[in-house]
This record gives sequence, C-alpha cells and structure tokens, in this order.
Amino acid sequence: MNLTIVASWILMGSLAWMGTASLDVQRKQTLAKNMDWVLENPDFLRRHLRAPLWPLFALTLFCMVVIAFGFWSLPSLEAVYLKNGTILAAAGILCAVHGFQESRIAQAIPKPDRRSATLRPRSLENYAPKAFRWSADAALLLVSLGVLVAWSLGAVTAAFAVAVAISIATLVGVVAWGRWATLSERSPHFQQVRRITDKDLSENYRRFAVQLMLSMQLVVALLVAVQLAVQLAGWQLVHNPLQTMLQEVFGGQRTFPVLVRYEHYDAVVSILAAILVAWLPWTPAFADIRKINLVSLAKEETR
Amino acid sequence: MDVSIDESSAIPVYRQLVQQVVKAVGDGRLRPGDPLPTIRQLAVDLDLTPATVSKVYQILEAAGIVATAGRRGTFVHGEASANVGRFLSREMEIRFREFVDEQLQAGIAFADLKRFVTKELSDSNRRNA
Repeated sequence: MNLTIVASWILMGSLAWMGTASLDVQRKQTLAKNMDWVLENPDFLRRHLRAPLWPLFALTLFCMVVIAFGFWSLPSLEAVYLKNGTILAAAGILCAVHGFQESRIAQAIPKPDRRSATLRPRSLENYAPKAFRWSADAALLLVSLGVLVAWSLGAVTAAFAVAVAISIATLVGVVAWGRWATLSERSPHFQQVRRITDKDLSENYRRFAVQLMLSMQLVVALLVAVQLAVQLAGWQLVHNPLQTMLQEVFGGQRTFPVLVRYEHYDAVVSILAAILVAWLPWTPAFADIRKINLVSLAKEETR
Repeated sequence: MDVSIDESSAIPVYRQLVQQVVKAVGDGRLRPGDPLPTIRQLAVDLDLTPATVSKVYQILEAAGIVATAGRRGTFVHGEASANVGRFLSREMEIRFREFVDEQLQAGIAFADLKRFVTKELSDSNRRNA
C-alpha cells in the first residue's frame, strides 16, 4: 500500500484518539461549571455524561476515504492539498458542532452562587521557564535574521526569503493569539477541581498550552534553519508550492534541485505529527481530569 | 491568594470583593507592589461582568489601595497599608450613616436608637475585653 496513505491513516488514527480524549475532557469541564448542581440532577448527568463520539468517528472515516482516494487517483501535490484541506475542514466542522453542543449544555447549568478565583495575575512567566521562553523567541529571531542576511548577500532566492517571512509571520500571529487565548481562558472548575482532584487542571492546561506553543516556535525555527542550510549548500529541501508561486511572481531567479520529494516529506511529517498527537492525552493537563469519574461521584453523592 | 463571592449574600458582589482585597492588604497577604489580575481575568474567572470588577478596582484606586500603571497592569499601592485604615473608617462612617437614616425613616425614635447603639458598643467592648 502507498506509504503516504499509511502515514496519513496513522495520523488520522492518532487524531481520532486525541479527539475522544479532548471531547471527554471538554465535557467534564462543561459539567464542572456547577458540579454540585449536576450531581444533584442525575437525569441531566446521565444525559450529558459523555460527549457523543459519532461525529468524530464519521469525520475520521470520511477523511481516511478521501485521503486514500486522493493518493490513488491524483498527482502527489494535489493529493497532499486534498488531504490537508479535508483534515482542516473536518476539524473545523467538529469544533463548530461540538462548541455549539457544549455551549448549549453550559447554558442549561445554573451558575453556582459561591464562586472563587485567584488574585494572582496570569502571565506567561508562570507557565514556562524564562530560559525556554527566551530560547524560543531568540531562535525565531536568529533564523529570521539569518534568512534576511542570506537573501541580502544573494545566497538564497527572494521567493525563499518571502516564503519564510510569510511562514514566520503566520506562526507569530498564531502564537500571539494562542498566548492571549491561554491566559484569558476561564477557570470554570476552580473550586470544583480541588474537590475532585489534588491538582489544578486549568493551570496544568495553561502550562501545557504555553509550552506547546514555545515548542512550536523552536520546531519552526529548526525547520527554517535546516531549509536555509540546505539552500546555502545549493539544494532545496523539498518542493514548496508557495515558493514556486512566489518564484513565478519574482521571476528570473535561479532554481535549486529538490532534495526530498514532497510526498515523502509529507509522510515523515505525518508520522511525527501522529506521535506528538498520540502523546497529548497523556500529558498532566489531560490526565488529571480524565481520571475524574463522574459516575462514581454521582453514586457517592446519592449514598 | 483567592477571593470568593456569594451571590446569595445580602452584600453586593462588588463590596464583597472590595472587602476581601482590603482585608488581604490589612493582614499582609497582599503587599505593596503585588500585581493584581486584569479586570478581564477576574471577571471571566468569577463569571461577573467586567463592569462589576472595574467598579471594584475604581473604588480601591480612589481609596489609594491599588494603583493602575497603564499597560503594566494593576498593583497594590505603595501606601496601601496606611490607606486601609482611612478607607475602613470612611466605609464605616458611610454604612453607619446609612443604618441610622434607615432606622429613623423606619420610625425608630432617636433616643431608642442611641440607647441601642450605646448598649451594643458597651456589650461588644465587654465581650472583646
């Protein structure tokens, strides 16, 4: 069987596994808005104890079929586009459907009269060591400067420099939004989680999210550095459609022989992403709330 | 440190928050220069409107207990410990005046009110002695 299909299916499997864990965690977070009320209403708890998984499984199956069809019948580049587009669209649909369901359930749960919050301001400093934050920012800055210097010396093409600038600008935008979203994320189970577990889930979640974003920065900086080194050696790491498009815009520039075929590069990225995604549900942020057993809590409550 | 609110209490939520911050400064749990969360963070965590938390910070700022330093955020004021005493006296004056006005409007005779307050104060003094 085609290597790219297998790699993509492995990625889909790990995405589905993470999806089930995420839906479970999200449902418990929603119910934790007022755990006392939820436990006093066993009918409500029974009805909403588990998030429905069928949309996730149906979309995963649909993506797997589309991926197989794409790689069997389309040229490799178009097949990769189709694969990425389908996964993104499926994720968007799932987020929208699930977000709507969760907000409806949350609206049905009354706010508890007594609520508490920390008077400690949330900032990135609380969630990642200073050296980690500085290394991630410095790595991104250094590779950006490296590409700029290489371009001004004529060692890399303008298309490569612009493609890197677009990628880094996108990453910076995503990370800035992610940092803001992480720090302003609500702690709905601030009181409840202490009653149930000995750890603070929201803090775990924020630590996890901030460190994941910083890791993303480091990985992107490393990838750009590798691409830059390969181009300085007279090669292009992989065929990059954005770069090809920019090459046409700028025109009249030398081209570099491609080192790795795009579908092989995509297969390697899929396997690495699958490993990362499969590991996420084992992080403390997920594991802490996954161990909460609402059924046994409900039984204890009624005893 | 944590703050908590109880919406079933007769005390308005903003006043509960003001009291807790003032108490924390008074007993040293919050020290001059300590940063406080943003209005948005506290409003989101406590499921309140930003206007309610903003009112709390305005009251505390006017009393010299917190200071806002532009984009750097809100901090416990350098003179907060000294200002807490003044704030509590002023709060007591306002609330005591409200209480007296309420009782007189409800028809309690001035002499009865005076006798009651004097008795309560001396009882309290004896209890705490």
